[in-house]
Amino acid sequence: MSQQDNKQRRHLITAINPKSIVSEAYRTLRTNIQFSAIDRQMKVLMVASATVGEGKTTTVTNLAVTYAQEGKKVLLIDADLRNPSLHLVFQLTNRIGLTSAFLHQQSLTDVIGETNIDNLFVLTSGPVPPNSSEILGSQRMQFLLEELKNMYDVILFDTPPVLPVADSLIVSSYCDGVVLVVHAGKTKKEIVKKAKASLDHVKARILGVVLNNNERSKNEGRYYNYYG
Amino acid sequence: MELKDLMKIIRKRLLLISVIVIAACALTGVKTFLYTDPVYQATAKLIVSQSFEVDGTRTIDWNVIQSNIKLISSYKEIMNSSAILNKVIVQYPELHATPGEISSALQVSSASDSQVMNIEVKSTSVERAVNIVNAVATVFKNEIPSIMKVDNVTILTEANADASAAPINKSPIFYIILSFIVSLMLAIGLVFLLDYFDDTIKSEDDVLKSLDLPMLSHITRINKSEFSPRKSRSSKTKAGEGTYVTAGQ
Repeated sequence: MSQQDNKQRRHLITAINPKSIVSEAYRTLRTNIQFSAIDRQMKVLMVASATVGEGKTTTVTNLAVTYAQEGKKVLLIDADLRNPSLHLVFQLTNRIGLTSAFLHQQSLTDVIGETNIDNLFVLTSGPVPPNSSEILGSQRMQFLLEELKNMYDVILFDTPPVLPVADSLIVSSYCDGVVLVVHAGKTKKEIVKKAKASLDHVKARILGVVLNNNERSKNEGRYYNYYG
Repeated sequence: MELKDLMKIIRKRLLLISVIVIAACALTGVKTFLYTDPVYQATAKLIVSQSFEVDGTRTIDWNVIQSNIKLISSYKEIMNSSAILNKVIVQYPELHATPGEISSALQVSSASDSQVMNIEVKSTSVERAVNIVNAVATVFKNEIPSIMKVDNVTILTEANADASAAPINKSPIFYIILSFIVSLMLAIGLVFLLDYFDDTIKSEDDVLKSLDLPMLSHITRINKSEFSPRKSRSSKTKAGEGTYVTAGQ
């Protein structure tokens, strides 16, 4: 396996080592999302961040894996049409995907890829289009999503960062909840506040924050070792 | 801010602090042990007084003593002037010194209300310090009558090499301890400054305070070892869980 593949595989810690501390943290995330709205079903979710490189893709893939491990039928959609990366994580082709289903009227079942994890399916982004915001905001997109909602228990979106482009704000309008990923010790408060304001402005339902890449304290490790 | 928080900030950047402190101490050590020559100091003493006779008896007049004391501040200036230093160079060519060199090595002092002047010269060689200080003292004593029209300077003690044989430098250890203390203070100051300017989100507290959002999960950094499940299992048995269970039953 090449180094590139290894690097991408690293995203899938919950699949490789479900007993690790990090996998436990993703399960905590899943549980907290489920409990953040008792009265409302959390079916369509998206993971957003203010800027690039805060760990959206890692968070969304691992969250998807934990949902799948729970026995739910999960679809992971790469809505980052400008800079897609889910196909790299799951080693799928990106020649077909969301945009090809959209533009060439291919059926959804043809473009959704299976992964080697049970119950987890991935809709890659497809070829990079020139007008990603228009595609994501179109009526056809809403129809597609309604169709998908009937086929899957949980639908998760990987999106571009909130601040530079409007794409993720458009996607957030389809979602029951938005999880904001913050890179601990790297993202400035003001920037995250701005991203939160943008999401609030489009009436997105922000469930909470995932702090990513924290320093791990020694006590924490001991705790998990004992009980895990 | 609580003391606990301060300790946390320091502990977080302990590496930076220790790097700064160790680098400063090492530099000071290298400088003081290898590149600092010992400095010697030679001292000569001059006394400013004259006696005069009134009706055949030698007397000491309070006014004269006072004026001598006042004169000392002028003498200090004169000694450092080119009028004296140039003469020193002419009369003692074997010193191979320039007026500027002597002037920078020369320090003239006196205790208040005292007629004694101290002339000190620092040099990296004992002989040189002694020679220069004696040359300056002698020239000054000889020249002052023509400059001030008064002959009231006497050499009290000349510098000698034995008395000035020990270098006056502080020990390298002293400088290293000094640089340790100073660099430690600066490094801790720097760390607090860095923390003050760091406006990134770091903890659950920050999330609650600045975003008013709940925290769903902490995702910690992934260790390489965690990618192989077998390894984590072995670390679990090391924690003693398996043996504990059988022992309990």
